[in-house]
Amino acid sequence: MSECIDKHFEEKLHHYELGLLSEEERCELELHLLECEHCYNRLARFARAVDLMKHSRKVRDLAREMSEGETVDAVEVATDIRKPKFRKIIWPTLVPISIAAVLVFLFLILKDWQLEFRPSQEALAQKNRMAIMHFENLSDTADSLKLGEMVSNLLTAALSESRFIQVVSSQRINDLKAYMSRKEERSIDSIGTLELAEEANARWVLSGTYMQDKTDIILTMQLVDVASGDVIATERITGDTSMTVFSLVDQLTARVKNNLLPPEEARLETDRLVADVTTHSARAYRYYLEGVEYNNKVYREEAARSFEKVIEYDSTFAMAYYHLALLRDRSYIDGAMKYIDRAGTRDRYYIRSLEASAERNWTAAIEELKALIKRYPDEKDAYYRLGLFYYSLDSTEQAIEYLNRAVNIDPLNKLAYNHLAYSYNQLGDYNQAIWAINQYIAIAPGEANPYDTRGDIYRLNGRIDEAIASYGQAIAINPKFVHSLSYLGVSYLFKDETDSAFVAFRKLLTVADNAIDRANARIYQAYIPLVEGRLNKAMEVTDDIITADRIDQVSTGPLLSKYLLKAFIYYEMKNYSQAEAEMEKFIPLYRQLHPDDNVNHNDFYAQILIQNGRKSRAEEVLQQLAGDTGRYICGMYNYRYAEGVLNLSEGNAAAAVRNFKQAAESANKFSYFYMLGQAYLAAAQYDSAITIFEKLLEYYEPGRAFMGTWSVKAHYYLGTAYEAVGRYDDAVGEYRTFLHLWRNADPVFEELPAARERLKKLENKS
Amino acid sequence: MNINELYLSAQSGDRAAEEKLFEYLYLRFILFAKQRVWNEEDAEDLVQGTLLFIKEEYVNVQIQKSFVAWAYSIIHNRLLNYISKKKRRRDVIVPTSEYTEDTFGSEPDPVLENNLLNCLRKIFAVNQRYARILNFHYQGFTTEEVCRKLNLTRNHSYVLLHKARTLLERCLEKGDIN
Repeated sequence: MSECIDKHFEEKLHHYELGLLSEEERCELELHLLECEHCYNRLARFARAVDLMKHSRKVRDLAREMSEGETVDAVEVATDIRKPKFRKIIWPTLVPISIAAVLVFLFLILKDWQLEFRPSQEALAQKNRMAIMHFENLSDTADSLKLGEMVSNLLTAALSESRFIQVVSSQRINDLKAYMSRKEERSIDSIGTLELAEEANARWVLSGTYMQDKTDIILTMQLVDVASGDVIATERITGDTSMTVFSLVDQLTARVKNNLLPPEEARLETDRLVADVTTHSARAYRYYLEGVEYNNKVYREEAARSFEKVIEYDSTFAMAYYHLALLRDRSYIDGAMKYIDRAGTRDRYYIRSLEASAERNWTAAIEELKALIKRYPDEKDAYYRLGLFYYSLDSTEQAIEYLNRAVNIDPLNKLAYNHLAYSYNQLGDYNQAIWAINQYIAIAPGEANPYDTRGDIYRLNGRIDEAIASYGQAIAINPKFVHSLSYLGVSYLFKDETDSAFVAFRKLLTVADNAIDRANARIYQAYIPLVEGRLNKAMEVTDDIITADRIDQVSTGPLLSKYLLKAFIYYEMKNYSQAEAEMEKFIPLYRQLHPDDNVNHNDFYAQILIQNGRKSRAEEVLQQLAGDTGRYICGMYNYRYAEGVLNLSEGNAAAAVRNFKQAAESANKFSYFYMLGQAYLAAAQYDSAITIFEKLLEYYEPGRAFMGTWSVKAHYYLGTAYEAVGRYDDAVGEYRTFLHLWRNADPVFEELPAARERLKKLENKS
Repeated sequence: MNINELYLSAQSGDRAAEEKLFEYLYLRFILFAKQRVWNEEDAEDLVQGTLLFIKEEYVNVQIQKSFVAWAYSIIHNRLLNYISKKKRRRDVIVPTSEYTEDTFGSEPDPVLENNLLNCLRKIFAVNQRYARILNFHYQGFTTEEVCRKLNLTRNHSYVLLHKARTLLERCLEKGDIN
């Protein structure tokens, strides 16, 4: 490369690139650059690097890492400064041992003292708690384009990255506003900013305005000390309309930090652009806020549509994928993980937790959320999700603890009350369950969901009439409320009001507005003949609904469940080879649909094989289940169940009791308890059999309707257990109920003539 | 062949020379424009407009001094126009729904990106403030803000920035800062 023709210019290259030249000098240099290849090349090479400095995410991440590394060091240095230094002992030989001991003692005291007084970053942040209020849009008071809302949310997102400031989320502010308004019967507008900030336990409150005139965007903000009401700082940021709202918020964030944090802390802070932790697209962010708003109102479909819009405008917006993974399906989590680097610190915890839960790594999912609430203690969603995780893991007491913390943060948190009701019920605390759901009803009396949940609580506690009434209230509010319709039908079915059940199931089918919902609704139609013991009719209906599903082009779960139902019907017909054939059709399709599940349904498959006399094949299935017990939670109880069936077939009732008991303790499945009852009868443990069958007959779940014949047979077997312990009147009652329920049943069941005979005998005896 | 020679060849009808000439001008003009126009799309539009004008005019126009000076005066004036137009646009109503969003140009050159990352790490190892000041400067912080963040005087910040930049350029050039 040739040398510069005028060294004077070469020396100015740095100043030019750094923007430090006067206009005149700039012109001279640019003219020179047009002719000097050497200088141009030097500058061009560096310009490419500058572009990367400005825009490369990797470079920004490195800059952040550097700052973080420095932060750690700096904190350590700061800590060292606070450590008391011991004076070097000049004359060690002169110091008596006793003084040394005192020094050691003092050292230990001082060491403790030092630890006690060293503030952690969380403690600092907690002290520096700030509430950010909604930014008023002065150009458009209705804020139709959500510009004011965008600024306050972006500022919250940006400041939430700080480890020295704890930001009260805008969601929390809105929740508090709604709660105060409701509690004190005041209008939302009458609640003052300071009052709200005080309620949020904030040290500072930040409020501001957004204004756009002909070409300028002006952001103003005011920082107020909540305790004294003094204005600490006011700032005004002006930018022209070529600037993004994101860059203005970045400037505002820097000013807020400079006003609030001591220079040392401000220096330690990492600087991420707010667009890097949210999105670079204003439109995408606007749809994101819309989606979050819908989500908070539990308008799931509308929320999902908004988040889909977000992705149309910014396919790298990690949190939009996160919400879609919750609202649509888990496959969206891949998108969230792919772009996790573009999410804020708080959001990353949520994403990692969801990913871990999708992989059934509950420990990691829980740890992520616990780390999240340690740093962001106002995150009600994190407490709520922790409650859900613990509930799923049957750690009901912990679930209740976290759900209660969620409602402590937001006393109007409807979904937390909803799950609290189920959790209390799971724990056997019926009164608390009803209290929790009534809280939900008080908050949202016009919503169907709380009445539906209350129906569930009644149903699960055997209060079937109250359940029917509550489901009816839910349907009166929302005639398309699928859950209530299905459980209303099931409740009627168990009350032997099959006509009402039929009406509910028909209604369920008519409200379904897509193929999958219709396919899900159809299976209920087969339950009615099944519970009536009309196996041929049940099979006919099942074949019809399979055809209907195919016409609707449904090939997934809802269709497969009907193959499983067919296998069960064949089993009940004692046509075990057909039952086996159906299972062999069903299982590969099920595994294809659930590639991670190598276990479920092998229990019933083994049962069919044993009944079909194919014991060696059943043992193979058992061996496979035994190998999978460590890998899958459900592996163990599937294995225990299948082993129990094998024990029963071999006449080893005691072993069967052990195995079914273990299976039933792990999974609350109707079939497991039913078989446990059978094993107790075989082992002549009649009192235990009575307990199990009585419990089964108060089990009002669709799972019981799926095994509708066993549901009714439970009356017969309960009768035999009563009879065995001399409770003849109870036995008569059960035989009569059984025979009444199966008044139109197919004659294939051996229990029918047996019940008639036993009843006759007992009636004769009396 | 230097720019004036390219100009003369292009003016006499050499299409290849003309292509080279405009390529040459584009590379330099875009560099100048990016110095003054933060928005890359605007910078690109401005340069394209300038080159289009030069292409239409250069064959016929009576160039008094040199082609370089003439071409430069066009880009320079257009840049000044752009900047003053920005100020004058105070009289124009701009719809509030749209923002100009950050533009990132093409995919980053992976080799250069890697070199840059290595250099920044080396600079950080030698002097953390150099790395930080470069980072702040190129992220668009004002001198005042940089000074506040790093607790520097204005002059001191210029000195640090200059040293940091020199170090970075040397490192990018030679692969090392020593």
